[in-house]
Amino acid sequence: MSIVSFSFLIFLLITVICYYVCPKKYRWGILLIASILFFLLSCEWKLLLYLLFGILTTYIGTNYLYNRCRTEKKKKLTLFVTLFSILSILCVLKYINIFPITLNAFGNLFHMNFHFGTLSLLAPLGLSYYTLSLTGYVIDVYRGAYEPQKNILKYALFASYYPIMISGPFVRYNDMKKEFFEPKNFDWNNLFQGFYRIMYGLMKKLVIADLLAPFVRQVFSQYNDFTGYYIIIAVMLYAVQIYADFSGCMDIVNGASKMYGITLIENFESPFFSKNLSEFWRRWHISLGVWAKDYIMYPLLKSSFFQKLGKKCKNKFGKKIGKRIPTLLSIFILWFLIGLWHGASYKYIFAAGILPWIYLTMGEIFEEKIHYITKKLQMTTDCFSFRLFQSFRTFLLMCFIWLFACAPNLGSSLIIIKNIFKLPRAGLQYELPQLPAIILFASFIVIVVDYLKYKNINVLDWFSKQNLWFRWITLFIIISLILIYGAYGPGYNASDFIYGGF
Amino acid sequence: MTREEIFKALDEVFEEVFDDESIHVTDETTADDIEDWDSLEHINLVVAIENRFGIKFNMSEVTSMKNVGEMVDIILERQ
Repeated sequence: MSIVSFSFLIFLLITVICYYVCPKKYRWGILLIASILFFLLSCEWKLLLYLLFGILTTYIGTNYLYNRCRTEKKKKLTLFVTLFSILSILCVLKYINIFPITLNAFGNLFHMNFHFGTLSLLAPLGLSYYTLSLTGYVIDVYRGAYEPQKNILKYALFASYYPIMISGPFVRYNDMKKEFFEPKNFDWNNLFQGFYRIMYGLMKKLVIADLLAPFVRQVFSQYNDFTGYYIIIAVMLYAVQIYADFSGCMDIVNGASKMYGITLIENFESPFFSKNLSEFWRRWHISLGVWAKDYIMYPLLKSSFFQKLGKKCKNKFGKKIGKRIPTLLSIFILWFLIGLWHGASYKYIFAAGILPWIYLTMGEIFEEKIHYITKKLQMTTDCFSFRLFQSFRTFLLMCFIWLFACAPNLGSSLIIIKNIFKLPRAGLQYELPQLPAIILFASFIVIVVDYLKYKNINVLDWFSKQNLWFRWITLFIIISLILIYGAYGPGYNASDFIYGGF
Repeated sequence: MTREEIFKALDEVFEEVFDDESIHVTDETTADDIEDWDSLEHINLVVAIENRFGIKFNMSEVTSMKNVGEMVDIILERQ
């Protein structure tokens, strides 16, 4: 079942009614049943076995670690075995094909045709998302951050809560515990805010992302035919498309949760208003960044190897440069793994891993020089025009990353970059899909909402304080936009969110 | 060490890590109050504090400390 469907809205309505009709103490049980049902309605029932395996191994592993392991050695061994069991499934289902692809590519370089076949293994819904959430849970229990959940059904809810199975966000058990298990009173405001947010998310997905998609798809699938500004426009539109798609999905997910009275962490905080790339990544896919920082970067930097490296570098290169070297190395590992998480493809490793690292390293190296130049040029940095320049610069740098992400593969992205500098071919007739003007209007709404969010104004809270007639009219406008202009109907499949594929 | 002595020692550590002699930390000081205190510098700060006080923070403390006051509570507890 797609969350962009009428059947999902019916499913949500029924489960919300059951949730509030049920006594407060047992409401989490309704969420668990809803999650299992959603899983079964969304993919093959056999794939549920992967999820069950993940739940059982981490449940047994963490309870054994907490209750039975007395020595550090035993704790480490249990941690290793538990993590290996869940991460190995992710690696096999997601990354097995990277080996034949690599061998075939190397074979081609040396004019040898290996023709190693690739496997097409079906992965369960939300594999990348629930695996990382469970990994975080196991590590937290090992670190002693909290006690493991003793009730396996309650734990199963944390592991399989259906809204976050689609595209995240990555959640932590101690944040979700109170959301799931603390009794909550029925609140009309939660229902209103949740529904409003779902509609806003649907508008982003159906009126912006899915109307832009055919144009972008055509340019990048026929990349040999398009040159110059066609590519530049297509990649800029892809930037808008991916944001509308992913943040729209998050709006639906957070909105659905809100209707149960459950607050999830936000995955986006107006990223396109960022002054620089570090700020952009603090505002884009926030839960992935926080997860990677807590479970990859900090343990690396605190490890004895990195500490020794830091001391050696400080002695050799001085304090300032010396302390940056282990930091940059740990960021490289972090971004490489983030790139790999996006998919078993070199284009993701480069676009979502290595390229961001190069940007951040360049930023670190040239930061002082840029400050010096702006000072020398006597540029005013505390004004609207400079802020606009900074945001646009960040947007362009991200577009360069997305160019690699939306190209069919790494090799074709190099051809696309070359084509940017070529003039359009004479006599070639382009029949590009039309871009309806309504995209501009819907995008304007998103920009205004994001700007208010950037200024720490909660638009939903603001709406809740308005008169009923005003709330109904705005809701009516958004629903009308979706129904009149949205990309849906026979032959159209809105089920695929870009980030759902990762 | 008393709480006051810990704060005095922390001032020196912060000054050293952030290369800023004007830093004076209090219970409420957070990363928002010190310009260079980002996620990368946070770990350098934690290690410098560990070395100065001869203690170890566990990873869940490293990632969950909300202000300097919480840091001092842990240092007092570990002494």
